[in-house]
Amino acid sequence: MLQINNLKASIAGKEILKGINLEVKPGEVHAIMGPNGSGKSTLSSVIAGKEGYEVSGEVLYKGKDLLELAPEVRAWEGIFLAFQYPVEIPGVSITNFMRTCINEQRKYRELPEMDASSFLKMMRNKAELVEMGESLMKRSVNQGFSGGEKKRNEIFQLAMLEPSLAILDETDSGLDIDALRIVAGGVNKLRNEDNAFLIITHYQRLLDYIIPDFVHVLYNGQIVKSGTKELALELEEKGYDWIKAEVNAGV
Amino acid sequence: MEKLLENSLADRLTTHIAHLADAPHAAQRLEAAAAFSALGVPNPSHEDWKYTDLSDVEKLDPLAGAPIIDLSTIDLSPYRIAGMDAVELVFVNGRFAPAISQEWHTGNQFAGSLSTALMQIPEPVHAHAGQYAKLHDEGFTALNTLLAHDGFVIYAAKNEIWDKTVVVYHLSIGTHERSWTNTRNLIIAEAGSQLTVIEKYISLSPVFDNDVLEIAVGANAHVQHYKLQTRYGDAWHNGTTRVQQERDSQYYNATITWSGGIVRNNLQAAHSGQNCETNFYGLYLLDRDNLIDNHTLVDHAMPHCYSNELYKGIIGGEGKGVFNGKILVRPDAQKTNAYQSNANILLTDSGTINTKPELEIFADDVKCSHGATVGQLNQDELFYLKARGIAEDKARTILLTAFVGEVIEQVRIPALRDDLLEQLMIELHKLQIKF
Repeated sequence: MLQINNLKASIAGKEILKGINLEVKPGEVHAIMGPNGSGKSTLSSVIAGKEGYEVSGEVLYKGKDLLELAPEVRAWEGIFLAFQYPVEIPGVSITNFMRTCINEQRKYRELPEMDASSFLKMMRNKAELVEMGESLMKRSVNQGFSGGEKKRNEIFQLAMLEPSLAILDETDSGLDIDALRIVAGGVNKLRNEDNAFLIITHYQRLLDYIIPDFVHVLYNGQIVKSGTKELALELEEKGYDWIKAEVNAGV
Repeated sequence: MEKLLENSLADRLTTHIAHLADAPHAAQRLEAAAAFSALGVPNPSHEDWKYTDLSDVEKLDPLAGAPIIDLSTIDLSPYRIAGMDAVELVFVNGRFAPAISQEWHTGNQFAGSLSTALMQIPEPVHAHAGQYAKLHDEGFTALNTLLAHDGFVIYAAKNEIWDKTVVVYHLSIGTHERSWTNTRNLIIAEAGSQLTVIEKYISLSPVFDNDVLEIAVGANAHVQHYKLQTRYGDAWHNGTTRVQQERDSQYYNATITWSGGIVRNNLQAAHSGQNCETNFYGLYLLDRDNLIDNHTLVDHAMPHCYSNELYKGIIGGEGKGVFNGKILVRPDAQKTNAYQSNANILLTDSGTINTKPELEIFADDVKCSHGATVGQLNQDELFYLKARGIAEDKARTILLTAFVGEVIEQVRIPALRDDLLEQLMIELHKLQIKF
């Protein structure tokens, strides 16, 4: 589904990603862990299409050259980024926002607009997944939301848009255990053999709730170690210093 | 475009003034002539007119008279607000057009021209006309008093509730020369009454409107007033609205401007009793080399009054926006709550905005706040929308609509709110296709 070859990215002349290689197949969950400043968020931004980066290398998504596509086209093609810091949009209700997103996606896929009653039914079902009340739905997108509400709203939008590849950028950071359970529960219900998740996290704790197939360690702009969920436990126990030491010894 | 006149405006008015002895209200007009010769046409050397240059008015001839239009050729239907039960008053090139207006006079309600009002409801008109907009405040007000020959009057007697909305059309049409109009207008809401007025300025030909509107809001009365300059072509405008509020009254104003050559709106409210509420809302979109200048004043003279002011603008092209909001809290006005906010988005590098809150507070037990912001569209917000599958153009429109939506939400007439939202979409589209 996603094939990343020697991806490099720099911003304002500073190289942040220094040659990433990664393959993600349908049905897989990949966790990307790493210390602060290792390039985790840059990787998710570059895949989603944020402007301002100088990018080289190759990102193939379902066989298409992803780097050529505008961010909205990537979204229509089934890529979803759950933001680390979801943006507040005063004056735009979640309901109207989602209706626009869904209908733009359907237009691209040459489907008719969704009728109002199916849309509202879908909203209700998906909101239940992350225990979002009706009162939140009427409010402006993320405006005045708590940290946990914002993250639940991201997963709600993920559920609405049914992407093939979902990237969760530190969705767990700052969540209390109840919110974490809700968010992880939502993700687990959405997992299936056709979609894939890239979970970027700082903390192993999330991976107790969303069991990954693979764990990668990103350090200094490169994936320096890959393994299974046991690797995450080892990182939790020993921290990142031994990885840094290994990498630096190798150089 | 404009015919350049060699002698000064004051010179040209001399002959006119010499013949004033026979005109109605001669004494008042002579006083206005004296006030004007002392004040002159405002120009950017006056602090209050620093950014707004209407001094070319000097080159216009106020006495030339606007062209006479065959009223049967005028079709107001494109400008009507759908689904509104309205009484319509129409001014064409500054003259009242009775044939296409519905003058309205029941026992306790009146809507019509000033000249009809002077015959039918002389007492309230004489009690209020000329009491609030002072001749010596500004040259343009003096000129209006000197030159005005008609205007509208809308009246609600004590405890009278108007069910219909009065819509006043100020239409300029049928000339390539810039015509000069001076209407002198009056809204009187006596104690306990309630009325809603929508003024629509439509310029299909170049015009300079120099209008004065006085509004007397009696005790416990409610006045809602909309000033819409949404199809206003290459117009020059100086409009002064002077509101006087008695105790327990409410005045609401929304001024919405999204085109015009040089537009200056002076909106001033003063309180002469306790527990008044004043709300000013403003919205402006600028394109090309439009200049839109909103000067507001809330004069808190009495205790326990509340005022709130929210102006928002989007500046495209080489537009120049000006906002000057003065809040005066006089020594007796304890327990005043006064709030003001002006927020702007600049779409281009060549657009400008000058925004100036001006608070003068002489009482010590008050709550006042003000804020002014100028920014561009937020790139993080834009990316968030794009990453959700909303293309650039649509994402910009959504964010800009949301930005000004805060003002449109304050429009209290649902039919008007819908009408404005629809027009807003068209205007934002026009602004954005230039990227």
